[in-house]
Amino acid sequence: MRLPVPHVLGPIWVVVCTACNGLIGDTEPRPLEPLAPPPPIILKSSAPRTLSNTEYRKSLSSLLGYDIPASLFEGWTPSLTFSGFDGVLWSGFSGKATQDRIATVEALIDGVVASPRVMICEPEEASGQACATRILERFVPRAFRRPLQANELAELTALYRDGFMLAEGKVPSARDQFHEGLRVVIASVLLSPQLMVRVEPLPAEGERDLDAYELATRLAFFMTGAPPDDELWLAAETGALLEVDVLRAHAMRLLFTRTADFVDTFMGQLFDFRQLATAPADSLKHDFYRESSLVLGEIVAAELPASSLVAPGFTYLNPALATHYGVGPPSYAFTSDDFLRFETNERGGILQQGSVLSLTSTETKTSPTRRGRWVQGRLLCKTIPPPGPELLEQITAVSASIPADATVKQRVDAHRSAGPACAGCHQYMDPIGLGLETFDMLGKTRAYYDQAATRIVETASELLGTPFTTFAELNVLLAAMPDVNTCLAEKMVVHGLGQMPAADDEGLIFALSAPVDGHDPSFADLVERFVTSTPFRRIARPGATP
Amino acid sequence: MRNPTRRDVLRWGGVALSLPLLPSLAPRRAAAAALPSKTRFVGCFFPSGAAMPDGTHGDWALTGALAPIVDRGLAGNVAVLRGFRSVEDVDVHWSGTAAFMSCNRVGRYTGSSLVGERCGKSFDQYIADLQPTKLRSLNVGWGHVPGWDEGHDSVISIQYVNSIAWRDERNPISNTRDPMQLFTRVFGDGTTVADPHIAYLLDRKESILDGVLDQLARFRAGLPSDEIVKMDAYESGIRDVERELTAQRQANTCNGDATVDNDVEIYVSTLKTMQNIIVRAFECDAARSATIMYHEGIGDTTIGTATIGKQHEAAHGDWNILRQINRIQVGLWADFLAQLKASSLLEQTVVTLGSNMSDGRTHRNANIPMMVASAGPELRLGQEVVAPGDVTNPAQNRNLADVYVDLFKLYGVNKPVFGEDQWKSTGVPSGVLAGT
Repeated sequence: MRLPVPHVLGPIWVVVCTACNGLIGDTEPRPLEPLAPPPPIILKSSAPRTLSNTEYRKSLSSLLGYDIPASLFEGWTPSLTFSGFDGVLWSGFSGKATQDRIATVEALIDGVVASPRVMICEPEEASGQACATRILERFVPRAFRRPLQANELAELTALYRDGFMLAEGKVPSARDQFHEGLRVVIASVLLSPQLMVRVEPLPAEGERDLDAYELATRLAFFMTGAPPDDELWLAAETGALLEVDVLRAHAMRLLFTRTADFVDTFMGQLFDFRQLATAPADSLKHDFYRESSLVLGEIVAAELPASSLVAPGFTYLNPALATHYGVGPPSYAFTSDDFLRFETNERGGILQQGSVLSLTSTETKTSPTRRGRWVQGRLLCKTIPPPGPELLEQITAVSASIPADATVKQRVDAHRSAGPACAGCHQYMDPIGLGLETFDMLGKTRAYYDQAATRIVETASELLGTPFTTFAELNVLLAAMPDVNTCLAEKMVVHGLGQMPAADDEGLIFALSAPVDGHDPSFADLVERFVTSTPFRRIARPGATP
Repeated sequence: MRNPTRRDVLRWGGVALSLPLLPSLAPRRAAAAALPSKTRFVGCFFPSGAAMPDGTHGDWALTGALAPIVDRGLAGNVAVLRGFRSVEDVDVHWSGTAAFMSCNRVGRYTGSSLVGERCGKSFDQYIADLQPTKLRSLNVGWGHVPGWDEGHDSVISIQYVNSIAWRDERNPISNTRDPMQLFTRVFGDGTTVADPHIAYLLDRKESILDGVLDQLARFRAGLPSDEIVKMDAYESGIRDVERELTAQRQANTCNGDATVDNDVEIYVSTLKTMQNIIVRAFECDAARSATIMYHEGIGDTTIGTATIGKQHEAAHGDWNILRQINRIQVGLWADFLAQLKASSLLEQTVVTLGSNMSDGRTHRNANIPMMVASAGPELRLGQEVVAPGDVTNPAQNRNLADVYVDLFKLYGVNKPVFGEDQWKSTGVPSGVLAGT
């Protein structure tokens, strides 16, 4: 893997992987230092974003008033992700995606007329037109996430009529004809780009406030991965959402009443565990998913410092997971298969959760390098650039020179003793990953790599020069890094605005992640600051000066 | 005043229009002498190269990875190209895949401003333009990478490794990976239009699609001009579905009898089954253009039994495994050629197979594995076509675009310039055509 230009991510700090890509000059690792003083907050531009498969499924569920089974989306091409998050602009319109979408909507369309959320009236005349118009007046703005434009209702009513006429003589009754007309118009609405793409038109020049509907949409997708709910929609219709206090109140309402959705859409993507959500209900993978959701959900709901996700001091276990980990209450403490809260420092931290530990391993082995890279990328927002072509040759040679019976630590040490080109990057990855070697591919603890207990697991290592011997000490070091807070803020910007933070977003990141009364901010603090910030509520043409 | 649409007719008379028979569905005429010799095309691809140390020929020879071609008696139908390079614009996994059949550069994200994917219309899509068929093109493959790492994903679209077929420069085509989905598309779901209810449902579906196209036109009008192009893809996708509906109403010339391969290896059986369906679709002229990606452009999954391992990792580290994987994939390709030959389709068809790099350890883009197969006198089949110069030196390699310019001629298409930037065609014959 290589890129001609090293992409070093993160507006505030940058890992300087010297010589790692062969393109940056010096070879000494540089200390990571924040830049000062805090710069101004700059407005962002806005680009159209296609709903991901998950967002589309949730939109349909919300419109029709029942959960659309994920099975209807089997065979769909997986959505592309942008820096790990949903919402890639303009993807998902290929021929196959179109065929899949049409097939799924066709499979749903029969059930539409059974949904009380859609069917708000009964036809009173043979044509059913008055009732159909009422249904569309309510349904379509929610589908398009904005009020109807001139003539839009008339056009859609005409489409209803077409469907109604087409069914004449093909279905038994006028009522069936009414249903058929609705199916045609609603299916075409569900397949329309107005629903599938989120657009926030840029002003002709300068900047503008988002309107209340755009703001509601941003807030809803950011916090729940789904379109606005009824209460938020009402606040958009009345315009009240444009008042900062109302906006804040809705954000907090969503955070505390739909905590699981927030955890799933934000942290589930940031830390990858959302991909385990669809695992079979009684599987280990699904237990991992539940553990992550519950632990992070409590951190959100109890307004603990967001950085406490590194070492919260508790976890949630069900009997199967307690047995798997070999920790937690004795089996008689469980009265059911439900998850129980359990105070411990051995488990619960994001780097001690089975989800993250298994997702950063292959089926057969752990990789300190891979785990260390994951920590840098997801917790500290440091991108380790991939090696350049000349390094690939060196990597091949170094790999070949490592004896077959070398220990994991010896292998990892070989990366860093193979010269500055390798050490430039590996010094940022391997030491962190070594600290997690005490957890195997499925998150179980281990003292030895083999059953015969001959190959001992060595976890003593260092984080950016500070030595540690156990994962618990590593957690303490990580939690003390301001990077955890700034990284969460940065990822919120990526998720909420669909854009990479640029160098001039420093001001925003600083403002979001600043301490509260000397403590690290909670998720409520982070969310409140973000959604009330000007970049969340206003957009500007690129290059416009605020 | 605009022309009446199908819907207008419905409003007036309540009957469906009967559309003209598509030419491809008319009885096939005997080929006249003036017609181009080739009418069908299949572009095939595998990622991460072969055991070719530093871009030398290595194991990529009839005695090595290409042995399955010899085993099936097809050596005389294949030209092995030497000394051609892939597009190495960004990471060659990305650009060498996306540009494999367009030879264009790939677009990248710059700073915080994002543009969607950008590469070029691929060769297979030009061939799909030549003759309307029920199905515009069949694009199948194994694997799909949803994202790679921040370093790549923030600079270049992951879609580049997932598609060799591009409808136009902004719209990559996703592969069908499920044989059942492909089967249903080609042969239908077993229902017939003789059933009046099914006929009604087809009409209803067309009304729905008409409604979507209305919404689309309105949506497009509100977009900035540089964004409108993305909606073109959606419109063409819907038009393709409409075309399939229209063909479904005609006497169905395709019978759903493609064989399902029962190889114990799921990878092999999946791809063989999809290859069978493509051959059947060609036989009944439901499509004339196809692509097969034997693996996405990285090769991130295990091919063959678990003991064989991941293609990408094997290309980096274990060439014994890589050789096995290469043989499996070349074997699939040779099976496909044999089927086309048995169906008397090989003469009308050009089939290519190539990769995005040669030596996967160093991601070398010189002397990539590349073959062209067909039957007949137009191509220099049964031999190696070697570009002059040091084949292992990308600077001395020929551009793949020159091959495509030559292949266009076999379809009666005069396209003297193909590709762009330093990957553009040079105007010099590639050597793949007989007599050049």
